[in-house]
Amino acid sequence: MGSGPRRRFLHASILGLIGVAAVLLFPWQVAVWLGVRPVVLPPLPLIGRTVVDLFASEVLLPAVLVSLARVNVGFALAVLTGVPLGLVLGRWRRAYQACEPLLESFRFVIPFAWIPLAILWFGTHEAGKLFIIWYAGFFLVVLHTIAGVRGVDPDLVKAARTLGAGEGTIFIKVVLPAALPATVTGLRIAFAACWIALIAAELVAARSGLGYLIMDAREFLQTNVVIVGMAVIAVIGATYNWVFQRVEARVFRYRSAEGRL
Amino acid sequence: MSVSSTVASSVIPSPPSVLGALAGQLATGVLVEHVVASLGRSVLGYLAAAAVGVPVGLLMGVSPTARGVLAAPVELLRPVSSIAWIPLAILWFGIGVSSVAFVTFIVCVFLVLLNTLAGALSVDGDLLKAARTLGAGRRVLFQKVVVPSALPGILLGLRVALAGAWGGVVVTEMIASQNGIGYMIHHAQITFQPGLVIGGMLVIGLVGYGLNRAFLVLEQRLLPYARA
Amino acid sequence: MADKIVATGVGKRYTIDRTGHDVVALEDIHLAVGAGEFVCIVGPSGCGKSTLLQLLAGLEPATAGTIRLDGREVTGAGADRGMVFQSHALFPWRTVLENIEFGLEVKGLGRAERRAVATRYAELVSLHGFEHAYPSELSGGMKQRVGIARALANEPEVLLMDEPFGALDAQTREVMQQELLEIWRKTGRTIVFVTHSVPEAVFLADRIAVMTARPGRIKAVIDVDLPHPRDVTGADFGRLMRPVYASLREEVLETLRREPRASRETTP
Repeated sequence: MGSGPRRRFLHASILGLIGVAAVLLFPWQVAVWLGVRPVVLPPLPLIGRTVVDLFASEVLLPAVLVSLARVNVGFALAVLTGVPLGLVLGRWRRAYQACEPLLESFRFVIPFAWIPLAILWFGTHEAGKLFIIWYAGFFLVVLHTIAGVRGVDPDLVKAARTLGAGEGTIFIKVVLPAALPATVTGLRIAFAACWIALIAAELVAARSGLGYLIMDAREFLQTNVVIVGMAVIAVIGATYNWVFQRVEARVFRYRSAEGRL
Repeated sequence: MSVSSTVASSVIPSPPSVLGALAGQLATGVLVEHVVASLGRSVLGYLAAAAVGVPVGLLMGVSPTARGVLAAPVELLRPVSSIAWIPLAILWFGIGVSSVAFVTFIVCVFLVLLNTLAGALSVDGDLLKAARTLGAGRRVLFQKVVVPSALPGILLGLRVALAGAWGGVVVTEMIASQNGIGYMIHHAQITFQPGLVIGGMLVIGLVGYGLNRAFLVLEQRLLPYARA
Repeated sequence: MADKIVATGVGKRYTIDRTGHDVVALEDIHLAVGAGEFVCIVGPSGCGKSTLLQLLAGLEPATAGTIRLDGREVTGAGADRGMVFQSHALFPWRTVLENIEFGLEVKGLGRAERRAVATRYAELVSLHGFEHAYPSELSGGMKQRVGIARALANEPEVLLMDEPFGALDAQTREVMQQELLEIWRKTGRTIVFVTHSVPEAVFLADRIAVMTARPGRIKAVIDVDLPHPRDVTGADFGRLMRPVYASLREEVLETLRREPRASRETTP
């Protein structure tokens, strides 16, 4: 490996820094200098201090843990219910046709619309938030899993049959591995939806967690806390996304560089 | 379900009561007002997002420098889920239309931009070569090759953003507005009218579905050659 | 020579629900392939030669007639009729060896034994050194070799090949044809090979069955009694190609004549 890739990385980083500075940081600082009120845009150094303060005062970490716990449980539920259903519906056409109207209509009722109903049903009990998170993820998991199963190359199934495999063997040795990449991609997308749904639920109907943290800070006009909270939400979301992408890369490793099979 | 039975039994309203609640709102014209208000805000944020997202996406698509510079801020801001902007929006714009429109804008702009970028990047190199051998200069290449090639991507971004806009509006209105359909079901929840809550959800779903369908029709008009 | 696989009065009819019309893909097919024979089936596009192969494989049921393997009627797909596909149909998540082992896994062979058999067949198709590569890393010709090895490793009674070299460039195709003959010589398998290339059929086959345009019937069976190795530039070769070409050309013209009507019927 010569200087080519290294130089390109350096080049990209420099451009990236210029971009962030020019588009975000510079206008921000200018606005502060022009006397914009701290409520609207806190000075940058304050943001830094706030991060430290929040961690030290044991406000941020518990909120993060609570939010993470909720989203992981809700997501796990969505996966455990969604993947099997997706496999069944993808495999058996009639089952899919039976469920299709139901799936299609629920898909359009966005998760956020369920929030008031969940509050009515569960109050601020945890189950309410878990329901919203589950809902946000469930349909995406099911739809992507169905697409994965449907997308299996029929020639692969035929080949397996000419090699003596029975239906059960075909399902386990051919359909499942072939559907895996699309399913994992679906999991990544579903998690992102779950994360957003969680924050929304916490903004409206919670007394703990990151969403509640920034809503509460807003009431006390602590814009610095709000911004830090947003950054933390972004970092967590991005981290999960990165992890999923690494898993996807692993699952897809038999693909060629151009993505051919 | 660990929900007390008294709560459960009183909040699964019968279909007639749902329809009744909706009809009530419809009759007084309030329902229509709410829906129109919500649609108005979605459109506002959506159009602003399209006005920003499409040009910037195309720019990033054709200019590697622009791409390098803008990619970082975009990648930094994107993971901040749209919803998390709500408190900040309230701090900046207070309760009302501006906040809702702003959050909608944020939701939509990333979707539009990234899909437009993907569309612009997917232009077949052979098409560009062919055009150049037919005498096309840079501007013509952009107008007559890049933009049409990117069009499916642009439209996909616009369609996804539409759904995002509708969702964003609904949830923001629950927190930061005094009218609109999101506010309506939130208010119905507070005043314990489950029939209206569910009715509102149905309306939200219907409008969302309608918007999607309308957009698909538009897409088919614009892209007849992509039928296959 | 005993008959290995025999099709008697075989027909295939599809019902197309929308228009209510029936499409008869195959009609009254009689074909007997002897043990160890190499038979090629040629025909114009759409004549149903691939469909016939699928019926022989048991991947689809015939709507008329019977197909017998070693005297027993065929009722479904199975390891006794191996198939090689034009699209190679390799399992992309499995390495070359793992692909070849698939049928052996189904049979329940132990790991060490599977490995040994698979390695042997990988060598047979000249893929030594690529055992742990993924299909996406192989060229078209190499992928087809894996497909052949995979089918052969299962030791089927009959090897059915559906235009396996159709997607390869001309040079690779020639190489593969020679290697296939070599493999055939070494293993003695019965092969039924579908192609639309007359030179390919004359190069490979003991007998060539020419099919008519749809509904497909066996129009003629032409013996190719040239000894191997066959010289494609030789006079004998040309002499044998002539009747096949002539027979086929009529059917191709017939298909082309019908084409505008056909394409109008099939567009939604």
